[in-house]
Amino acid sequence: MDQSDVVYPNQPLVDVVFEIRFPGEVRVECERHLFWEKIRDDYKKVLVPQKSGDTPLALMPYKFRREDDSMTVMVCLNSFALSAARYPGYQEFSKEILRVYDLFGQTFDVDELTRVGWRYINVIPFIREDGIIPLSRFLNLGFKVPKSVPEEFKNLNLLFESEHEGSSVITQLQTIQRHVALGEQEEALLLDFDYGRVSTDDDILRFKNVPEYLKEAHDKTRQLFEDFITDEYRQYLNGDVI
Amino acid sequence: MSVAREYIYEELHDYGWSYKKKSDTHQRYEEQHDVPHVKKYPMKEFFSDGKVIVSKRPVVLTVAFEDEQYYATNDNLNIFAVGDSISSVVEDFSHHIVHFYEYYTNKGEDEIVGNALRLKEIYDSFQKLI
Repeated sequence: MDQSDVVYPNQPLVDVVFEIRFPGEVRVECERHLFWEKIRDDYKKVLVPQKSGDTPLALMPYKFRREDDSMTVMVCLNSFALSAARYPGYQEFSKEILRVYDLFGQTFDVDELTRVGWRYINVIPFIREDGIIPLSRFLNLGFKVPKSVPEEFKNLNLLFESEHEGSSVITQLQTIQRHVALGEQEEALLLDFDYGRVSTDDDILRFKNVPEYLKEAHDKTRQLFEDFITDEYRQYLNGDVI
Repeated sequence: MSVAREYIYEELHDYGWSYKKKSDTHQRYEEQHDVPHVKKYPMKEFFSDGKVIVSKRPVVLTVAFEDEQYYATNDNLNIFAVGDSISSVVEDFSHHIVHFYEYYTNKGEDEIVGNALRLKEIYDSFQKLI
């Protein structure tokens, strides 16, 4: 087991998603019941898409969810995904992804993929110090701002996309809040990594290679997370606390 | 987003501007993330009465909101703090830490036994900056 397999006892993950996309396959839309029959013992709840915005219903996934809400399989015309609301660690999550991926592959004939994605959404609660977000306690993040701008922030909303050897990662860092009572709010940092690798003429992604893409997606995203957090915060995540 | 900012974004959109972002990996649509209502906050520095106490290991404040009050507890240190806001409960928690730091670090090992000895060991590992 290397560092990327470690499951922190105090992990801040609220959602992890692995997704593959492929050119529209009508059979997936018309015969999704054939796939559900194979997983329904584990994913008994069925959630249907609700119309919202401009997205066509056929491109919004049917969700098959475990009774304890811990994992959800999402299927639509051009994508297949598994999400974990309570992330069990990579070993267990990847095992489940590959199990349902295998069943999906037995049901539908998908060959080329258009995109592989991994989403790693963290919510880090914080308490302000003198009205300022104690960012440096949690994250290794430096901003080059003009001298007249204090490097202590009251709020943050940052989104950037970076290239990583054939893949890209959209990183979002944002202060979020939740109403608790009249005039009272809890606050947290949202740290959201959205990894994506798209098919190109030189590098066509294939369904059969998903196990390889899965590992790569996880390893790169986990490494980013590890690079982002401070040793002080890692100490807390590891449970080395009083 | 303020009304003014929203208005500006709508104006930009009307002029054909849009946000440039690649397609993202599905989140679970239309759902709130399941974030627990009891929060844990790691803290290493505690301020009270002009004194600053620093811990090498993070001290975890388990904060809950009930009956219009915030409660911050740490079972390991036997601390139970109360406040009517997050900042006031942290202030009360810090006050407890500073108070017990002074109490236990000024006690000799031969003066206390059992749980008090365990707490003294923890407080002895803290450092007083001011």
